Amino acid sequence: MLNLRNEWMKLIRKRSAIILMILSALFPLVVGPGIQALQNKFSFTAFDGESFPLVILSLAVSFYLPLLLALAVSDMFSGEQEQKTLAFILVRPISRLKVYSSKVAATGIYLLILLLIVCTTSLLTGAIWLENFTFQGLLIAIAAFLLSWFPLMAIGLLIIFFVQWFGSSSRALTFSILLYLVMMAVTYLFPTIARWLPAYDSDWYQRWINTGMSSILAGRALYLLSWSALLFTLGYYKFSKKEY
Amino acid sequence: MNSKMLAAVGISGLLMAGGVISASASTSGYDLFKTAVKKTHTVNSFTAHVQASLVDNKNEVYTVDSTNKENLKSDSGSSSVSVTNGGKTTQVDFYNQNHQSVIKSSDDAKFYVRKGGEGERKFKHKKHKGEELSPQMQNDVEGIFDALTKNYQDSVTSKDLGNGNTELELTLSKSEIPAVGQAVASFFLKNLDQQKEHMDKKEFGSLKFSDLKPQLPKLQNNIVVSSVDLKGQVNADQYLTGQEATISVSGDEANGTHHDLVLHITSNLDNLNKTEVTGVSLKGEKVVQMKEKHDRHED
Repeated sequence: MLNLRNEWMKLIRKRSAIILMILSALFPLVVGPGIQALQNKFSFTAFDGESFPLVILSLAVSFYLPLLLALAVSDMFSGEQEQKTLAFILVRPISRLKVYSSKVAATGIYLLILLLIVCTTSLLTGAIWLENFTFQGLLIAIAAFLLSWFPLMAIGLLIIFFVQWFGSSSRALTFSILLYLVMMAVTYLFPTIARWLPAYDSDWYQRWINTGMSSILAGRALYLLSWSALLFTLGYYKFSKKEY
Repeated sequence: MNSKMLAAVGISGLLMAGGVISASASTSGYDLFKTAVKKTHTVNSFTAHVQASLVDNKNEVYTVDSTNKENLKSDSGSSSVSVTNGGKTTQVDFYNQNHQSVIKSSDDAKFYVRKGGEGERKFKHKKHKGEELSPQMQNDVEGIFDALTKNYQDSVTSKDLGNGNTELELTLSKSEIPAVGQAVASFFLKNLDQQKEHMDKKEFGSLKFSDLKPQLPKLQNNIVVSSVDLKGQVNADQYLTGQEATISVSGDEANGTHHDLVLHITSNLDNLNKTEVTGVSLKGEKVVQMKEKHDRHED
């Protein structure tokens, strides 16, 4: 795709992106031995090699990854506007749709790579440090990490839509974090409204593990896909009408 | 907005609504369970048959069989408990009447009486009364509970048993049990020795509470809750009349001996709102008055 390579390079060559990727890799590697020491000291088994990746994933999808996503997105849209570099891309002979979709695609790839990094290192930690690491656990963990891409991407598209209203990346980031926190609060306080928000599904991999494919899961999958399509369209509309 | 984009927004919006509505319009067993729990909470008398057994490496090491009659209105109750611990069976009867508790064991002809109905029974009642929340709070609690269990709700299956009874079942395999559950279970098993020491010291003549406590193997490593199976039976009036739980735990002792423990508990309620508690007559019996002791819950 035109411009995707360009967007990807911009994203990945940032020092912050590299540091965050290294931190993502280190996080499970540090937590694993730490937990092991705690478990021995206070004699409990919160998780073993089989469930450790899933525990890390539940932390990652609820706090860590949405934050990183918001950071990348607010840099990519508001940040470039702030630095007045976005105009250079817009004058190239590429349609705005292509520019927009290449940015979304770059975000998606970034998210997938982050998930894979956390998955790999948490699996390694589970295999090396914790007891009871099984092949079945390995397969479940990989599937759960891949499934988590969908709800996170739906949240990412929502953030992409909103950050375009902000001219500075720091304000965009602050707003995205607040938006996410509100969505999390709604999940617990107003469950009926929460069903309409993608944060409701951020731990939907647990649903897949518990029931496998069911009519409810089909409904949630349909929701997530159509939500993503809707927000992609709305985000593009905003992007195409905006004057930089 | 041009027509193409409007169409895209319209179609995806409609699909989204379809997805949300189809996912929430399920008549899952979870809703029936909630209704039944709320309704069962309002009964003021019942008879409960509770049975529990503990199997260690396929040997039954501990069983409890009890019949409990409870009338919350008149604050009276009686239960007859039979405990088989390592092949030895002990029968203990508890009565709660006229603001005093009476304990009688099969090992002893005497009746032990404690004034004020102190002890576990009162603790149980307190708990019962404390659960009366305002409707607003009840709604909030329900909302939080719904959010916490949202990934488990559609795993509750329901089966029609005929004559208006419905069986609900939730089966969780190892990877489905939340990490918190695993942590609590393993912590409990590893620290069994330190628990309920104040209970052990209680004696009623030849009856010692420590005799009634199951001798569990001292698990140290690889403690895992391997499966949890919960069943509930809801009758035609939407009361939760039957409950069944099977919990399997495995682990190794310090010397490497492997244990598979299976705890099985069933509870059946009947005579809802119709239970009459028949007390025990202490006339002509040997009665031992117990001194009031303040139970502190140290554990």
